[in-house]
Amino acid sequence: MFDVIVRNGLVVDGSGSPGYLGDVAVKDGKIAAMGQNLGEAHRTVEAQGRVVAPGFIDPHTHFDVQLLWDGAARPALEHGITCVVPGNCSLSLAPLKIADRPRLIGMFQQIEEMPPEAFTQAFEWTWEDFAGYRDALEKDLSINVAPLVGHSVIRLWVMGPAAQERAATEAEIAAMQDLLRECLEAGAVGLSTSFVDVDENGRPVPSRFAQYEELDALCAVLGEFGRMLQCVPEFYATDITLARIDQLAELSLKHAIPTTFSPLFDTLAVPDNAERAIARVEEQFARGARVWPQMQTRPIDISFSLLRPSLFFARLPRWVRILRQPMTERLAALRDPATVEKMVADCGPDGGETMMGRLVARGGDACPAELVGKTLSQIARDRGQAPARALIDLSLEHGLDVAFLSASAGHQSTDRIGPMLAHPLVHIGASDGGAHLASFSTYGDTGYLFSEFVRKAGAMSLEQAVAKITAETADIWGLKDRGRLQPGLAADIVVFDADTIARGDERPAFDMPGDGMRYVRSARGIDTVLVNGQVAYTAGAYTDARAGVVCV
Amino acid sequence: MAPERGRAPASLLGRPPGREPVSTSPDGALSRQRRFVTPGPEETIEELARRSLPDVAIEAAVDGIKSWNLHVFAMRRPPGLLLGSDVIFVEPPIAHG
Repeated sequence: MFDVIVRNGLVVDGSGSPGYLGDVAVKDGKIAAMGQNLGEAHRTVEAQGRVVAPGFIDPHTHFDVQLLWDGAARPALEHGITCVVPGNCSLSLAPLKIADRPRLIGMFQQIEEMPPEAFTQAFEWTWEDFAGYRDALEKDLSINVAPLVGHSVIRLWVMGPAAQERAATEAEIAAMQDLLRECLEAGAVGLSTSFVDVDENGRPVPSRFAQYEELDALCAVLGEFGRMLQCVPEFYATDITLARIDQLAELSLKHAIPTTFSPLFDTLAVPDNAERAIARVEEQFARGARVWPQMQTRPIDISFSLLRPSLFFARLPRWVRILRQPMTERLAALRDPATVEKMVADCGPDGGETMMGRLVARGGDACPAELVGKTLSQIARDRGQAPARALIDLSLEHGLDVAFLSASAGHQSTDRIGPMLAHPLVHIGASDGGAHLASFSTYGDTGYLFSEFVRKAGAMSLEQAVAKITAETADIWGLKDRGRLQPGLAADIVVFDADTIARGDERPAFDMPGDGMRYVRSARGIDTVLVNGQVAYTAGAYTDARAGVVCV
Repeated sequence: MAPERGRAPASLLGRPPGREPVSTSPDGALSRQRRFVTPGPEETIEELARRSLPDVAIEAAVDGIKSWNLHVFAMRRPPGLLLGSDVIFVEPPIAHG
């Protein structure tokens, strides 16, 4: 007697091979048998007319903190994600000394747009080391987790405040190696680093003060385990991205490790950016290096209001400083003519027409209905103001609760991106799941892969798309018993409708600690999700199953 | 062999940076890309220019490096803050076609 049988589905097993009609039987958390007429089970999942595939793996997330109060990483799991990789971009919740917590929270707030309340109100922070973090994670997981450890926190642990001031000494590098080894032994899937990020004070994050020699030494430890190096490169500059690809390739070759960088964007402003990066990756793979560029499926859409700081203002430090102030001070600044004059000037000689004119009023509780759908350029013209000034004044008139959308601000051409996503050396990822809460939804990229690039554009087959986000991802990351429907492997399974799977509309949800808002997308076309053999989501609802593990 | 402190991996450069306009692998498997170095500990722009472009007058070398690395010398706050992980190009962009 099996525990579960998923019957009569189109089995798309993750290998890229054509799907076939059959059943998948599960026992003790593993796939026990595949075929037809397999016998009886305690529970049957009817999958006629549906696809039965391995659970999807999301290799670039920041669910580090959310997983501590929401072991399903909602709504990732309902989109068919059964394994997430948190700890990207040099930031992880361990190893971290108590005294350094405010510093890390500040970095998460600045870089990943996560509110401080998420770190202080929803869980008890009991650990300092990586093993302690793993224990805390595993208490209540519905989803599997393959956590990276962050280079910046490793530096902080060893060097203290000097981590953001100088190069490490030989002794400090040796201590970092020991610490990294300890984290890998405790279940870290690899190391993440960042070449671009700054903290809430504009100071480069600790990993950026590391010499190449330090990274090389840490990669030597990764080599002992064959584990991953992830980095976020200067993705906005092609030549620097190519240089980073070369650095990663040298580290990959020297230490026999996989490496990945994220994100790689396509942008019409620099049309050969992704093309050149992929060409360099091809050359490096031909040498035997493993440098996987991660590309997201969704276009870049950013929503914001002046209620809180936003990624949209990343190139406007004065705006960021003002929007980060408490409400009273923020309102005072936005009402101060001299300050506003400078803010408008920051947006360029055309008063923000180029930078902001195409923004669309999206809504917000106080937004006048007649403005919704209008561009800021139109609104500004009607008001006889420069766009940047109109943005500020309109927001002030409505308690700052007017949301704007910067739509398709890059990476939006399906015709260009489809073939890139289908490229055998391009790793589909970079969702940023769990981050950038009030700027855009980081959930549903897999649904969008099927709706946009399989059904609409035909850029790849259903089987190719499934393989990309299951077996290929598992292989890249060395997750040996994940990513395939195959007897003996973990029973991470998603049942979905190939005709309707999609990412859902982006909507606000107020489910973050401290009543914080985030944008989410509900799944479309996902019937059932099993994690390690237990039904974790079905018929539109999460179950009580808690079968998730740290799966490294 | 570990790369020399503060420099890009030798296999990328073939020779110490600044000596020859190469950034291909020794086995010729890589197409040419812009040459770059990474700053050494506490290294100044002048020191970096001297070692990277030893045959160029120091003022011209510094100006060139500043011109070729706007991500460090224009966009960064404070401008010119050199970090150990930086990619510093030691030649202008090369044509791609």
